[in-house]
Amino acid sequence: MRSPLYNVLKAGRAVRLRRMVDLVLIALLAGIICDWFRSDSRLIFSRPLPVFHPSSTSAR
Amino acid sequence: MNYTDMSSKRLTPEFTTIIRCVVGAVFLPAGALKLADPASFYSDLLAYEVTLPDFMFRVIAVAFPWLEVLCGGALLANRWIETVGFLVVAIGLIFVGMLGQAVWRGLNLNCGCFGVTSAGWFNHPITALGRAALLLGGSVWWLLRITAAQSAKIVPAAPVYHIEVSPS
Repeated sequence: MRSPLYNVLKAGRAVRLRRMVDLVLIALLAGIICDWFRSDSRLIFSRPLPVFHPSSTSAR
Repeated sequence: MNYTDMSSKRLTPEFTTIIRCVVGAVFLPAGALKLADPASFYSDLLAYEVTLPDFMFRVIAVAFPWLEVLCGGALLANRWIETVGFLVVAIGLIFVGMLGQAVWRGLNLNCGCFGVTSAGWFNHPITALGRAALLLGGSVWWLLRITAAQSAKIVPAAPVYHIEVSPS
């Protein structure tokens, strides 16, 4: 009787690594593309906050 | 259907399909709900107080919901099951690890499993840990079943030799 851990590791040998990498890459690309189009609340390509120079905000 | 002669062997393929569909039906909406608002998923991730660079949390918040959607869809469609099964078990282990450390440290957080739509006891870390443990147990059992079924297909049956003994 094999242990469940051995059987899970054995199941891991059946994994096609290329397919797994493909899945992860598809998810990553889809996430980045969606993030790019969500211009108001980007997480990865977040725009830097506008910096106001003191001279531009001072009363003239 | 005669329920009296239902042996466990007969039930297993159907039960395997049910578990696959249940796990897929959990993963698909969980990912889709997170996709709707990745910013809140990102803030939920930060609440776990795990030591990782901020950029990693951002990448996870953006990509992980898609991975969940892909895994859930593949499970429901019964495609790439040996690869997706292993990924689902790995994701389940991550869920149990993250929620386990949150419960251990007594963090009061919103688990973020199903986006922002759910709230209250359903998103409490202890409830989420129980859910994740059930999900992990189901996916491990399912992965072991499909591996056993595939190796039974691959390994050829032992040949049957007929020895004829001629009377002499």
